[in-house]
Amino acid sequence: MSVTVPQSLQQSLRKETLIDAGYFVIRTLRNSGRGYQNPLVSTEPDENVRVLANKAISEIEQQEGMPIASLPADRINEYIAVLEDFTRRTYQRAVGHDSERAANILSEMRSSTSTD
Amino acid sequence: MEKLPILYSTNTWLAYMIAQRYYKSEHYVWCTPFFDPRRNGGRDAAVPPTSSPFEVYCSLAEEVSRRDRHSKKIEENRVGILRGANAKKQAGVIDEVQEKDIVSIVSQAEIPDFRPLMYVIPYSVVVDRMREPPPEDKAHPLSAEYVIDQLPRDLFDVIEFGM
Repeated sequence: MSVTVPQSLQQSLRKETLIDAGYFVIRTLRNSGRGYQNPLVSTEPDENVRVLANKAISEIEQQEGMPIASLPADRINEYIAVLEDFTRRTYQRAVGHDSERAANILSEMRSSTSTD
Repeated sequence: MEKLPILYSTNTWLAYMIAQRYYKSEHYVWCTPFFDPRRNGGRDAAVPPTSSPFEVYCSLAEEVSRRDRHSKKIEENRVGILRGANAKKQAGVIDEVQEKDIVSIVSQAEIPDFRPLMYVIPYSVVVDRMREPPPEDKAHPLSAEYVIDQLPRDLFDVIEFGM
């Protein structure tokens, strides 16, 4: 069975909430992969972000038929990869992308080798 | 566990440069007073390898040197930087053009741009800026981990060492 982005994230309309929720779902999954006994969504973000992130985690657990803490590492990594890609693409679609300008800024940053 | 004169944090060159350029040289850091917790033999504090500045530095350096296109740490950092941009935009620190810049830069950055840097932070000058992360975010309930949301550049040193 292939891994898919939870419906709740796909249906979210507000970019700001979605990017944050995507990040915290990934973080929760990563903590699960690191062996946290009871991986939970952080209480750090706003409530609407927490609600969305918790809903997405519940959907993953429902789809997999087990708590995320019981998911094999490979499966967790598959979800993380799909969610990272989704988060990046969603953000880029929302704010746009200027590859030429980015290349110039990166080039300028790289030429300044100092971190002083 | 009282070992706080110096705090350490591993970050990427790209995250550093973005904070310097777009966030008024203020950096978001997770840090710990244990550079390499394995050397403490588990006596002082539980800081697992995933939160060890030295371990994180080594694994990131290795993935960068291998030019690992599927590096989990690099992808993690990309998303972390995007989350930071999202937060800074909402806080009014950056405008729409700068937000688009950061999203574009993260998308186009190459593997060497994610090389690790070690931040060395004197505890005495940041004690009022530190907070403990929520328990669910810590690698271990007792681990000595701290967050500094806005760390000015003049309060820490940056070291880059070869592996």
